Amino acid sequence: MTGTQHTGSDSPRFKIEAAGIHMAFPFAGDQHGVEVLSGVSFGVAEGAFVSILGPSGCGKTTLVKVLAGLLRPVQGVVRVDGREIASPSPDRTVIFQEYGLFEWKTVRENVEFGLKAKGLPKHQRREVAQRFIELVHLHGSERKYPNELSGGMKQRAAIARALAVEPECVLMDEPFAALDSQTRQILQEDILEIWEKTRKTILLVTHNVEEAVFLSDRILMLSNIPTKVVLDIPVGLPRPRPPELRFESGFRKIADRLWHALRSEVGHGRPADKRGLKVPVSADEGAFT
Amino acid sequence: MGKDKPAGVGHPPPIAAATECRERPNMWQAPAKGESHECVPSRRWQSFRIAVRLLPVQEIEHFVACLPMALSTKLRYGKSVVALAAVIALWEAACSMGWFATTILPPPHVVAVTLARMIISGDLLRDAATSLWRVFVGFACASLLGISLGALTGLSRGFREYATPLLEIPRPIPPVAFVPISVLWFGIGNGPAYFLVTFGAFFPIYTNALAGVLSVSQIHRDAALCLGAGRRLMLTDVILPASMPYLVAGLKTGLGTAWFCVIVAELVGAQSGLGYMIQLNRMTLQSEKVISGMIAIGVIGYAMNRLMVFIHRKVVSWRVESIRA
Ligand SMILES: Nc1ncnc2c1ncn2[C@@H]1O[C@H](COP(=O)(O)OP(=O)(O)O)[C@@H](O)[C@H]1O
Ligand SMILES: [Mg+2]
Repeated sequence: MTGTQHTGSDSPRFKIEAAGIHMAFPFAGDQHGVEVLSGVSFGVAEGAFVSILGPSGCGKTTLVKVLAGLLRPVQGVVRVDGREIASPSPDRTVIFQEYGLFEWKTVRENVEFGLKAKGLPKHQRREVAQRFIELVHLHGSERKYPNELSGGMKQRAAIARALAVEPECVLMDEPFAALDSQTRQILQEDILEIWEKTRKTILLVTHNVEEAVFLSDRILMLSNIPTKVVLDIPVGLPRPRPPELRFESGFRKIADRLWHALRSEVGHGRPADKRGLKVPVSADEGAFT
Repeated sequence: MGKDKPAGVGHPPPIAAATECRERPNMWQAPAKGESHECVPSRRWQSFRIAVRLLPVQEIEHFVACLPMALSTKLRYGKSVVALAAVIALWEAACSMGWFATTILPPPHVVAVTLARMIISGDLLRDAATSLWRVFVGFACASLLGISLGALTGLSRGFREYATPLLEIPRPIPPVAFVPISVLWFGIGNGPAYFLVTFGAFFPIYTNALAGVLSVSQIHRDAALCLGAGRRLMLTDVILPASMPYLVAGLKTGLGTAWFCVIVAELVGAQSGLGYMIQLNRMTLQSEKVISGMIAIGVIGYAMNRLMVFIHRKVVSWRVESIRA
């Protein structure tokens, strides 16, 4: 955290930083492919809880994978503590929308996986895993397989697994999108509690406005494909945040503003790639360039 | 039922056969059929009349005997017993009507007696053990080869490009087509059997291992990478268990093929084992022994399949939905 050289950036030091990320996927019959990310740049301060809000299909998952080091961007770099990343690392764990739990492992074994990769001896693995299983309120389900868990419990297990390796940064890709609204709210509150306890740098990707406002210090909004950061607003709501905060006017004001911006993004932006339209666009919608 | 015994039709059955018959748990078989198998076509009409008298009695008795079982808690087994018994009854009936010469198709009770005798004498078990050993050796080789090659092909794109045509061309050749060449190569004995079993079992095992490795989902690979997994942990804790359902399915099919292949190999390329035994008895026209051998082959094959199903359930219990129940 300290004493790291700061290469190539004059901005204040960030825990994780994306600089001019371009990402394209090959598209049948087109050598250029579809450009998904088109110069996404931002930085996240250490210990912050930042949300990235974007319409569905705008490349949020792609961005998370690039930040994790699972996908190599066509152009641009990702820096962690000012150093360019080249591969995935347990310093940046990912919580996936589809959980990504190993179905052949019990909850405990799932949580122990990263510790096993670190080479921790067995008894120590179990001890650490137990601590994180309790942190996400999953004690009692240690020996269950993912197939035996509800969606919310699966995501809890995935959170425990991602936190158990003690990452510095946690990337969450729409972690609560597959859950019912009740479970989602409970998990949101739990994740805040966990964050306040652990103070990891959290980057949460979501398409859910209320979720972003409720959880974050700061919200970045993405445009439609080809994607850029179009809005960067702080969320000045006090912490700790009680569940009732969702009904207060301060909360609603920020949420409404984001809703508005998001709606106009969904309404106007169709994949209007400069290299050619990949999706048929009707005349009145084609104005967004 | 004894009073139905028609006088003067064929010869009385061997006394041992009659007693064996009575000791069978399913007592619905009429001993009269014991004689009718000796029928020659000229007496067909006579035996037909007997059969007409016998047939419904057998059927009814049989169904009455099976009904409570079928309705009991073990309904499934009851049903399979019904089906099995019906086929045997039909077979018995067909024989008692003299539709087939005994040398062509002996009636079931004669086969049952022969089978029992062969088991008691130990001949059948010896032959079965020989065949099973050959399956064991060949299957072990095939598993080793199939799994390692399948994994290698699945994991390395370069290797896949080299290996695919090489392995895909021999695949459609039925193992039977390898019998002549394998006898040429290995002579008569264990050699052709080992070879054929290995060849036959290899492909299902290989194909499934490959499919298994390719089936490992991206999200699991990604999750493992993010958690810091190295190559080794990725292999032992992600790829291997994730492809296990395919692997075991491949082994199950492979074992079935192996059993099939060993019999084929023994028909021509061996002087022991169940395949050789049925071939030998064909030459001496002892069709009841041939059929007994075939039944043994069927039963052993079925048992091996059940074993693999059991193992399959155990190994991939995390995948079976019923785990919730
Ligand atoms: N592996 C891939 N190959 C080709 N196109 C992809 C691939 N992954 C994502 N895309 C495309 O990139 C766009 C963004 O996808 P994604 O990142 O999953 O969006 P989001 O997570 O915001 O819903 C989509 O149009 C999708 O079709
Ligand atoms: Mg997504």
